[in-house]
Amino acid sequence: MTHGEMGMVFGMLLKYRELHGNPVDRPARENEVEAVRYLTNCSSADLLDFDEFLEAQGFTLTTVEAFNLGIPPKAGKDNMVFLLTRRRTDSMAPYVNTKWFIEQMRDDRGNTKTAKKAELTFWLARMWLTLQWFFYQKDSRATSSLPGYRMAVVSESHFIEVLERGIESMLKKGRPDGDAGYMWDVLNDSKSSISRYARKFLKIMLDSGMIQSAGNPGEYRQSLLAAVEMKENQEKELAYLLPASNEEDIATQTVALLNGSTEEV
Amino acid sequence: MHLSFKGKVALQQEYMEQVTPNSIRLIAAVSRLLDLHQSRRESGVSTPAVPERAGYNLSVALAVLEVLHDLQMERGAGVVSVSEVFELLSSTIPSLQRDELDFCLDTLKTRRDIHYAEHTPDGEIKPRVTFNTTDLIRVVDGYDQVSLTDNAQLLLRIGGLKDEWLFNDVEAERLVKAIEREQYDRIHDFCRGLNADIAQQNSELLKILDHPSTNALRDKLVHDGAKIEQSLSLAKINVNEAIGLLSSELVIDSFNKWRHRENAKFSWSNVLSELESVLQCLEAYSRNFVKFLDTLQQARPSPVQRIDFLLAINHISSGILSEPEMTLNALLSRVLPHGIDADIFHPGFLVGEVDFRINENVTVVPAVFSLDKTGTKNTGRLWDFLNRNRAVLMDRLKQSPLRFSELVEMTGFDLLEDETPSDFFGIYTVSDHLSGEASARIVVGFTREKFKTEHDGVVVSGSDPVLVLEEIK
Repeated sequence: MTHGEMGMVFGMLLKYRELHGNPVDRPARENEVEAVRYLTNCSSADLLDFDEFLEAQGFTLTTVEAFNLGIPPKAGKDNMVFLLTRRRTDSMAPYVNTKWFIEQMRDDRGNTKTAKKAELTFWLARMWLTLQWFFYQKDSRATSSLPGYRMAVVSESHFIEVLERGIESMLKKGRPDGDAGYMWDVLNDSKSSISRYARKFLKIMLDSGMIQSAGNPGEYRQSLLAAVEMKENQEKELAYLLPASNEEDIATQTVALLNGSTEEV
Repeated sequence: MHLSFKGKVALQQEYMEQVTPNSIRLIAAVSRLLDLHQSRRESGVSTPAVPERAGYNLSVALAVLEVLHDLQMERGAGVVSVSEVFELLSSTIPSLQRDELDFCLDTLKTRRDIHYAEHTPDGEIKPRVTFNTTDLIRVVDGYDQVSLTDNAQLLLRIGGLKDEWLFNDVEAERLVKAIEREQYDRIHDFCRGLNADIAQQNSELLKILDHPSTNALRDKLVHDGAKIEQSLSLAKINVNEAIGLLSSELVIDSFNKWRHRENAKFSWSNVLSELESVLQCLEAYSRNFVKFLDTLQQARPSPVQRIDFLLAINHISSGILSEPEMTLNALLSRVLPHGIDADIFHPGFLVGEVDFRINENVTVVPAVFSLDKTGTKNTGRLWDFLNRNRAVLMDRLKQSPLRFSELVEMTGFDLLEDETPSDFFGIYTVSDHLSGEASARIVVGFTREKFKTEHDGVVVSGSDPVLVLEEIK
């Protein structure tokens, strides 16, 4: 792989995060097939060089054989998928904006523009976990499973419904005493914005390639990128939740997860 | 594991599907088509009420077909007396009454209409009816003698094939036959079907490892492991044979004649590449199957990880976190997608230390560009140009970074007659030399922007890099 080809592949990966040699749900993007061919046909030394180049920016190249996702090959096409994923280290390149999602949530309309950071953070955490419930827990799918990504769907209306039910249930339980009720207060005060937050959240997830349109308006499917990242998450970030042997353990593990440590709380 | 009611029903259904006999699955699989066949749209979706004796009747009917099939295998085609059938059935179903058997036989011998439609090449849909493909047994008029019909034999054959649904090497044999019979136009469909089938089964393998409720299927796969491996090996032999056959001179010649005769749109190499893709799939599936068996035969396979996300949500909201905003932000920064602010790429963005020139012992030769095609293009000209204009440029860069498009529009340069600021194109490769100061250097960063400008009637267009003055410490 020449430096020129490497640059082209890097540019494509940075823009789309996923490159498919044999895309099944959409036509191939301009230069996508060529980029996959470069990566498929280059030597292992070239691939190592490229990965080092990515590593220097806090990324890594993940390779998936599309055959292992149940996608049959087509003659003349490389049945491979290459993804640009994070290295889960603190050393991300300065051009990577870790606050991007929250910035995107603050749009120019309605309450989301003026929402306080705490409010956005609480809603985002709630919405992210709820989305994972749709993709995994609802269908009893393991978080390490990649092949099921094309069956994992969520609709805007169901998403909002589950969020609303969750808030209702939280309110019914009553406010925790003292400072512990801070999140309860914030969510209660802003519960009228559920629909707006949910729509915005799904739109940003769509823009960032974590979900894809499932063909009908308001219906989305998990992207392979999201499934690969979740597999990493469960190994690196969410491992503290497991094994979920009883409720007490889960409580402890959840806190450990959120504190990002394995120490018992 | 906490499961919702729907989850439990799904689990139960899946479990039931794993233990349901093949013949019943076959009947169940076509049942909705028959229900649709009997439906009227204005009445909505129809699901007929199932009578209490339905299961019993069905089991008697299948037992009758099974007994007749066994006798036929033993004695060859012929009629069998109803008394003998009754006697044989009574040993497996002691409660069976003769009138129940008679009712069953009367039903199985009765024909009914099945309506269907045929699509013509003109796009028309022509209604059709079949009648004599529905009875499963034949009763000799005036005698209590029965025999299986072709329809029943078809049903039993397909039901028997179900055992091989995991993988059947016979499918791959069709490729060899198609080449032998010069049916080259069928190879594409065969290959496509085989590839889709193998890919589907391969992903099923991976799902089984993730899905605890498919234990029955997993056990069956382990039990039949040797048989499936053998089947895969035979399939690979068949595909290799097909590739060898296709590559023989005789077949190449035959293909070329056939292609000319049939005016086919695909070439010999297209067919070869289709066959090779099947072989690749089979090899990948075989590898995964061996891996699958290895994993399952381990003393203690790794536990499948599941996360109760709803419970996590409840705990977060219950005030269990002392600093919820900080801890949740930490989580979100790791799990939410990041943005890329990459309008400018600067070498300083690289996290580690990467020097792309480290192994390249190359002397940089400055590239010079001038709009004046007759001008002398050599490095001396560039140096002269730089020496004359360095101070102007450095003064400007000390104020702020500068885009190339701005640079070529700048005034105040000391230019010779045939020079324009476009001569600065050369600085792409010798930007270090341009600075000329030990305490500072010029860095060229690439941007997404493009620029377009015009000099003496010539349009100049290109990427628009940004020049930055960097202090050297």
